[in-house]
Amino acid sequence: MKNQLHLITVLLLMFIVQFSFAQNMKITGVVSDGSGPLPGVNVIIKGTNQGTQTDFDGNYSIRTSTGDILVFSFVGMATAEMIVETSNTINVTLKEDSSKLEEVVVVGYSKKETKKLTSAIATIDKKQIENVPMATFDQILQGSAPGLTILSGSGQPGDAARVNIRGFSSFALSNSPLFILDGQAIRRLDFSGINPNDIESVSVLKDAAATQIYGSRGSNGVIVITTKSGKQGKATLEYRTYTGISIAPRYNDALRPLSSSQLISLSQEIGIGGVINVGATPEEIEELAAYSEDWLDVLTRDGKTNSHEISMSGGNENTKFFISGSYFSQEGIALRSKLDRYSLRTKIDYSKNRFTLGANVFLSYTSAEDSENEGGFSRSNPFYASIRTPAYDRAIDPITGDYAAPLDASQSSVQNNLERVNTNDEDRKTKTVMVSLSGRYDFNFLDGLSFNTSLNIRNNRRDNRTYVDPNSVDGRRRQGGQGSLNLSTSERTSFTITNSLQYKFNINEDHKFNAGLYQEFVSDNSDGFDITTYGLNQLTVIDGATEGTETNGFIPDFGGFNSVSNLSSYFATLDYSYLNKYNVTAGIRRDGSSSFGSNFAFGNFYSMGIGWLISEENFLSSVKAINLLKLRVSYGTVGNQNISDTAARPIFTSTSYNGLAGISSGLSNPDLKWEETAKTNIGLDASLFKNRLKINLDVYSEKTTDLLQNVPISRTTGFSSQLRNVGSLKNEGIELSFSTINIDSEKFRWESSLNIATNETTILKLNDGESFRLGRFLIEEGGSYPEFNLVKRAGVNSANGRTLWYDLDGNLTETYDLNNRVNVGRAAPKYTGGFLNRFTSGGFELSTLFSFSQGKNIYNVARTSLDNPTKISRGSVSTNALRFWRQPGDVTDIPDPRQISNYFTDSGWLEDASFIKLRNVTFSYNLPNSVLEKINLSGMRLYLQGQNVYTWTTFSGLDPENSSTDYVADYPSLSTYTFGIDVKF
Amino acid sequence: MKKYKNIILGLPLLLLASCDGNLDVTQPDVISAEVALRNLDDLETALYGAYAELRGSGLYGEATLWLPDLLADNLRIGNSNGGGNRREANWQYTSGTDIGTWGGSYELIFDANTVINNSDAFEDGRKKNRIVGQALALRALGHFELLKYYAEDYGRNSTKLAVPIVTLFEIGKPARNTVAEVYEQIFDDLLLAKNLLNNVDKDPQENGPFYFNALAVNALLARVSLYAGEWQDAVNYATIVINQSQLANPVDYASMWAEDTDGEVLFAVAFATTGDGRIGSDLLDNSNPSAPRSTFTLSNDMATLYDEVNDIRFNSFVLINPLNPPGANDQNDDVYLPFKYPGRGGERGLNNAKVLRVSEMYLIRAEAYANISGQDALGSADLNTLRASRITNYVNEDLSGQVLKDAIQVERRKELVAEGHRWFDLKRINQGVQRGTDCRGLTISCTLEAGNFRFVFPIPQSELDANENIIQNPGY
Repeated sequence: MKNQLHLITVLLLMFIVQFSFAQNMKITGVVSDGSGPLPGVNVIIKGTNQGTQTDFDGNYSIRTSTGDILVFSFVGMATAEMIVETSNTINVTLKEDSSKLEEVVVVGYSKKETKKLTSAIATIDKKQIENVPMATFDQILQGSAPGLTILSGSGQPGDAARVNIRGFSSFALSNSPLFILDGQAIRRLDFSGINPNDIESVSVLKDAAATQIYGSRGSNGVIVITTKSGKQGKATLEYRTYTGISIAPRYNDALRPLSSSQLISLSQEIGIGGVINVGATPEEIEELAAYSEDWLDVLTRDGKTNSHEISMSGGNENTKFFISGSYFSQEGIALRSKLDRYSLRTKIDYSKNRFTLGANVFLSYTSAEDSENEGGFSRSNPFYASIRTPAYDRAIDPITGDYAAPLDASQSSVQNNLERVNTNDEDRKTKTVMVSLSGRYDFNFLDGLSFNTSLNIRNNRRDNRTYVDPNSVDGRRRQGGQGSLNLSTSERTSFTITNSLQYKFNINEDHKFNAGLYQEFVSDNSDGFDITTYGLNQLTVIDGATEGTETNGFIPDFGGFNSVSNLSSYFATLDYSYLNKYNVTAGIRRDGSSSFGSNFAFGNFYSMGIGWLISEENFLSSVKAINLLKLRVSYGTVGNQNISDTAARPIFTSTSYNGLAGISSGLSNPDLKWEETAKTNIGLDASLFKNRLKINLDVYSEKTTDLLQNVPISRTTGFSSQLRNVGSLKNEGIELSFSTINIDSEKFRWESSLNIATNETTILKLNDGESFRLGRFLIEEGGSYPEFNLVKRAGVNSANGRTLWYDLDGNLTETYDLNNRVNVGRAAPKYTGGFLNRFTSGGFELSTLFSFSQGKNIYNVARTSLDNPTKISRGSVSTNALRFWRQPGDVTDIPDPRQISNYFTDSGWLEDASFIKLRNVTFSYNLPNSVLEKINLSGMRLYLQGQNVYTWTTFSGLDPENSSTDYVADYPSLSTYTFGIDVKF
Repeated sequence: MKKYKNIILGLPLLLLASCDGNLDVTQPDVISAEVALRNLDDLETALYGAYAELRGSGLYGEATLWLPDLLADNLRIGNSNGGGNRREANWQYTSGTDIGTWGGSYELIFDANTVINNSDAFEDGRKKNRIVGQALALRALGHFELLKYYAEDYGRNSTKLAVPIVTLFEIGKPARNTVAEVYEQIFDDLLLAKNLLNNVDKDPQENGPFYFNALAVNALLARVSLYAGEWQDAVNYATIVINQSQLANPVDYASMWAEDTDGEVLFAVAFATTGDGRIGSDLLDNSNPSAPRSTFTLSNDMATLYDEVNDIRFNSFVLINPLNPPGANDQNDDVYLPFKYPGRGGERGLNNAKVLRVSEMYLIRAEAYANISGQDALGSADLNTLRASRITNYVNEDLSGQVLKDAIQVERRKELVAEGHRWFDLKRINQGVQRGTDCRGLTISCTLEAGNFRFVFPIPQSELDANENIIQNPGY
């Protein structure tokens, strides 16, 4: 591998050699585009290959002879020709090329003309990305394309959103699409390292015609991210900066903490709680009741965001470059949570004669601190602790100014949370290096035949450090009782090598062909280790740990892992276009994966797509209202191979007993097959009324067979489940988007776009028709998925205060019986979408984006504790707990605490998580040219932006946009307001 | 130039040739099954893999260690309990409440079977005897733990349902065997284990009482015989153990609990590091010694059984809550905290789980004698021997009949608290639970009459969902 790298570097250098030519007359001049000089313009003597380029100020000089013709060419400009006469000076003004470039879109492994597409692809271009500054690019996708569900899930800065395309196609494996960044697969963890402004375009590939080329990795859809490249022409320098603030959250009435006096009277009423445990006197109680700490306020803050970014790009006919450097810093709303990112990207493309070479080097460093126990059912999760911490426990002692001790010291694992956050650390450093080298050679013996190769290397190293203060309550609980320091490092290196032969040819002008033959190899190697040391002194580094002995308890713990997976593939594609009206694409791919058993290591995938440009037909040419009308049909198969590296291979894992090594057999399944999804898509694209109304409609049906699932098996085997191919399911849905230009006058422009999607997942067939359980869901033939299957709660018996449930016949019962579980609600949204409006007037622009989700329910786990009055035995609860049943006749939803211990899992904790979010509001101003000229800039934009401004929902938690189907006081997504300036020099 | 061109074109061809061979990957951090068990040494590591299962929360990490005391009347929910085990303590468990014993025991049985069923490949001999004998004992222990929680009754010849017997790995849907059949398997395994372990290359307990040797197997036989009501067998097996070992003297007794010295331990599950678990911390979080957190407490009924001054067990097992000494705070009754596992070497809660001890052998023999007509005097003598070594200035008593039987049960509570016996003892002798004044605060269920269906645990719903041949216990 190293040798190959060397070679390509040498080659790169080899080609950067300039040639010079001698003639008898020297011509000089300036080339401009009307507004200023134009660097990088090619100046060639017609009929020869002799020429030069304009410099940074648009100057050129060339030796030539009288009568020669100079050809001035530049991308996006009409080519000009000038005859050399007697004058030694020729100044030229180039005009913009009126014949527009065909719109192209990035698809897998190549680019295609939008018109010729046969597949369902949504694109997000750089304008949409540049205008909406965010921590990570995935947040920008929200509401921007139909069928794409993005759930931010967590407000932890840098945390990646959960992305889903067209529903669930797998139980056991990830339903996350494949993310491809500049030709290589990346993981969600990598998102936080990527500067969103480096992105040129994002393509969302949905149907088989688009995703099949990714074969065994394509079943969940593919998101192809392409970074910016330099463009031929005037070099540009841009500086962007913004600063902002994320607003601390407030509780809503559906779930808020008890005040001190409420908690104390509840304690006194049911005889449980801190004031009882410590035997507080009436005077003490009076004092405690007088003050309520707002723990949400204590544990959260308004977080600051800052970003600076510089980018340069430019190039001439042969060499193009793009360089960007950025710094981004964001504080979360939970104390301690933050992200700092530094990134550098250098992209150089070079072409000469028949060679094209590219180098893309990306470096990033992120340093993040996490909020503890995010989304955990734990008192160290600040969003849970803010209700569970008694309001009479102060954060800071008003007299001493120190951290205040909790009233009931016997609840001692409940340290003052503010102290805990401030004295303990959890930080995470990630370093990423990505290098892509690519080459292309156009053969001389056959026009249109080229060879392409790319080598991508990604190395990702993560260092985590968790420090527990030796003096903290938590520190006393560690081995040896003096804190702990955990350091862990993991490293992942992947190689992707892709080679292809491309052949583009026409048979007269009517038949156009484009064929590709590919070979690819992807290898992933991850390893890591971690160590926990104990007995810390004052130092917060590993040197502060004490060496372990037999007696002091400070013996360190360590662990590690190492895994390898390989994917080897061959594939071919063919595009055929007849009269540009009828377009056909076809593909076939064979993948071999090291994750599967030797029985089924290989999988074959194929696809076909047809596009018919109806608007090009004669019978429609007279219909003025129709600018474009296209029908697309595609069918094909894709797979999902992302199983554990050991699921198909019999193995033993290691353990130990009393210091002796032990081993224990695992349960494998050598007969595992790939999940395969057959996708059918029918789409219609229309552009009407001078392109003022655009409609895209896609209808799809996707059938997944050989579904993989960890099937529960009898525990008598010694195992709880086995990964098996269990059956098939179907996703069906409709995606619709409208884009309109409502008003388009000189002074005012109003554009809208609305997208909406719906998806239904149905279980088709299961092995032997046997249903099984998957968490809170029942998987059964004919059933929809995911659907909560729980005992249905009826309420509280007003006669005796006990919980009532429904049995299968709909009768009320006081017996909680798991045999009475029924389907009680969807766990996936029925409709999702977004609504964008953009108003432009002069240099002003206002845009608003709403996104919505309807029909998803969330199981609110947090309330099983927060609504239970008896949980005040250790801490506090929500005000809902006050409603408990007290005497016959009381009508309430909270049962008698003297008759229940812990709440049961039932439908009572299910909440409708539908929402409408005002996702984004941006108000911006572009300075006019007249002003720009005076201050010598080529562009300047000022803007104010609000992100996640408001949410309409009935969900009781802090954020209904939860990535999971359970809610445990998760970190809500950030509501951020920013002010920014973009300057182009 | 041309040379480089050729090399560039040649590169992919090289790669093409080399890729498919890379699909047969050996994962560096697991052991391939083909090479895992090549010799007896490998088989021995598989045995230690089986022992490690004993630390699970369904076995001696929790469910068979102190949960049976909480289910009955020895332990109760403390006032600062955040929610843990409340449902079990209040007998509100359903098939959805899985205490882990079902899965944990079968994991132990699977690992033991791996050792037993792969042993045929190796030459017979004393070393193999040592390995296979222990695995048989572990398999018997696994089935016995299941029997205790899930069998409808404990009769030796009972045709009531117990649990499926598993001696071979198969992904199937086995039905429940009868109580008699499970006893048969347990006794077969233990007797074979005993034979093998009597002829070994070295004592398995060379490095401490954390492995089954022949004596420990005898002790387990005594206990199983007691459950089965095979009184004479119980006497015989207990006698073998008693004749070969001694009750711990007071000094050894105290350090056996505090510092995990061997004392009179016949078999214990080793918790070597805090990574293995802290059995004591689950009972009592003593990380802040001036204010221990009372997740669970000893019932007043239990703690006041002891002679606080003369009985060494009071000091060894009970911590008076420094925040709430008796009488200090009328509202808070978290007075007696369970401190049987204080942690060795100052490491809070880190102790080995004592499974079989010599004291229990005296109690087993005493109870067996008390159930054989005309042997009450022998039973009373065993009880006196035990008491005399625990209580200073103890004066022998001469008990007989029901008084003797009751006294033995009281003594079992005092001796074996938080070792996983009380709930099964009540089930065994068909007595109910009376919590009396200990029924208050977070303890909201006060009495459970003898023979109530709650004495038999529900088979976990996950098993019923995956295996339709399992019949649920009555009442659930």
